Amino acid sequence: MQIIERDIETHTHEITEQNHLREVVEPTLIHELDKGSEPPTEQRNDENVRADTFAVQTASAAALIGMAGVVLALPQAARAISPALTFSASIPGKGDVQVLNYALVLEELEAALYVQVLLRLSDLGITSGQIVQILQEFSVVEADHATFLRTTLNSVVAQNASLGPVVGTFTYNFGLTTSVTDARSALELILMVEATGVRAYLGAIPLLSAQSPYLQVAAAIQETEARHTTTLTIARNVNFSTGSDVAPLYTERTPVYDAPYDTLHPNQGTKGLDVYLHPDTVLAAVSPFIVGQSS
Amino acid sequence: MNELEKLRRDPVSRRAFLARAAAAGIGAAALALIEGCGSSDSINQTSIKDPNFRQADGTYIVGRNINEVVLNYVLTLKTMEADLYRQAVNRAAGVSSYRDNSLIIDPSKFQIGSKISTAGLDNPAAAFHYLVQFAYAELTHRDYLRLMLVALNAPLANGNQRGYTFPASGANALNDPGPDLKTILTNVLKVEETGVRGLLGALPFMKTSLGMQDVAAINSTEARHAAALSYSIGLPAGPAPGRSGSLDQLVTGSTPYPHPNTFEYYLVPNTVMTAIDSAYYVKA
Repeated sequence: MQIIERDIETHTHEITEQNHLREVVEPTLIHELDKGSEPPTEQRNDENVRADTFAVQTASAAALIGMAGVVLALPQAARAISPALTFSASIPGKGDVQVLNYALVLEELEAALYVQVLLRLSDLGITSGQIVQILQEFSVVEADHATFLRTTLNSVVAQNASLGPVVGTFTYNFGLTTSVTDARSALELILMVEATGVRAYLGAIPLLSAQSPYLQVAAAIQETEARHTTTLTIARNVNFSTGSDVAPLYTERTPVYDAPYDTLHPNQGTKGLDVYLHPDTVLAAVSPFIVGQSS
Repeated sequence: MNELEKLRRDPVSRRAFLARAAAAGIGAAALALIEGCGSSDSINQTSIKDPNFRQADGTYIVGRNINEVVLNYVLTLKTMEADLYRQAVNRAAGVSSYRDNSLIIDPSKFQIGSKISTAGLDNPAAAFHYLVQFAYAELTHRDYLRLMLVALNAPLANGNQRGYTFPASGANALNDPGPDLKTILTNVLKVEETGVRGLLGALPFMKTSLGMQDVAAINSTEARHAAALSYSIGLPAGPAPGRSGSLDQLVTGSTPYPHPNTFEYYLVPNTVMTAIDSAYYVKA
């Protein structure tokens, strides 16, 4: 695990918000983190100790959900992987396992983004208590999704290795020290990633096996992401006067429901229906944030 | 046999016709045209009777196969939701005959009724805007499903022919979506949460992919509606247990969710049918 020294010093004043996150982190995760964390070696006041522990816990929470390579401040030279990930070439596994691996890649990326933004609240100028609370709550949920998927995949592949392997973990650079440097851009980035997740799950449905045992839980995750997307859109509207629609609108254009799913049909997104995206489209959208594979 | 009758009997031609009509923006009109011609017994309308989709009155959701049953189940819910939203929007706009009036064609013409209290809402204008937008979206969901089922030559669920109504609750009178905007939104939220759970509970019954993505896409929008309505009345985004009663099921089976809002909850179709019949169906 990595102790983020810089953040210990710079985020001590964010104790109120970060303690809240600490309190809602899965108790078992906290227990594991405490076992592995290094104790402070110098005399610190209570606030610094809490910040230190929080930074460790957050980074280690990331590690425990399979993002061992989460780094908060990458060198400027870190570049996105190239070529971009594609479903067939980059996502391992067979059948439903491959689809779950695809979902896991997205969930871990989302979870990592939330973690990184929450550790940079001050740097990003995120001062709205409402936004902080939303980010904290959703961060926990995204971590849950990633944990669930990795645990499920580990179990399935353990029982039948020919379906695997389980996808490894990635390292990310969300540009939080370069291009994403204020509250609005951070919120926009999170919103984009959540919205992409909504569409990604819908686009993956046809890839699942007939009567897949994972269809319902995938839809249950997807609907949570849809709730997040709308709430974040409202938060952006409220805080930055953006006036965006919070759900797909009705229009007079009728979707051609027999269009192949793997194209962003021009009529999709109308008639009040959420859009679905082909996995390759999704992976192309998120690959810019992926700078390497750590396992 | 006239050309329309031939079109109605030929599923391939009918589907192509509807697709062309839809692309031209006259899908609903084309649907009405095809539905209005021919006789119902000229098409094979034999439905299975799946025990998981039994309605409170003992009848079954129609469909020649389980996928059609699920689509008709969703249509049943959407027909109800669309009507309840209609009443809610009319009520919020101060329309006196809110239970009878249709929605006006131009949603931008709706305004909050001058005598409708907006107490307790941080942003009543936005909340009312959501209510109106979502009402039209529900209508289009309903019409979209009908279009699909007709193009499939499938039987259509008729919904409750006597209509729908909001139940009495606390100080809220029977049939009234709510005396103030916050109550209206709260009551509509309960309908949405039931819909979200209902559609999620129906998805696993589908045996093929036909219509599956559409059901999921509709439900995704429903979840968004629920989140927006929740925000408007000061609730968290959800999912949250118990918002449509106490019978929520976990997608993880007997394993509790790590946190109450990790995954969506679902209701099995029979539970939903019983619940909506009791709460929202106008009786004889």
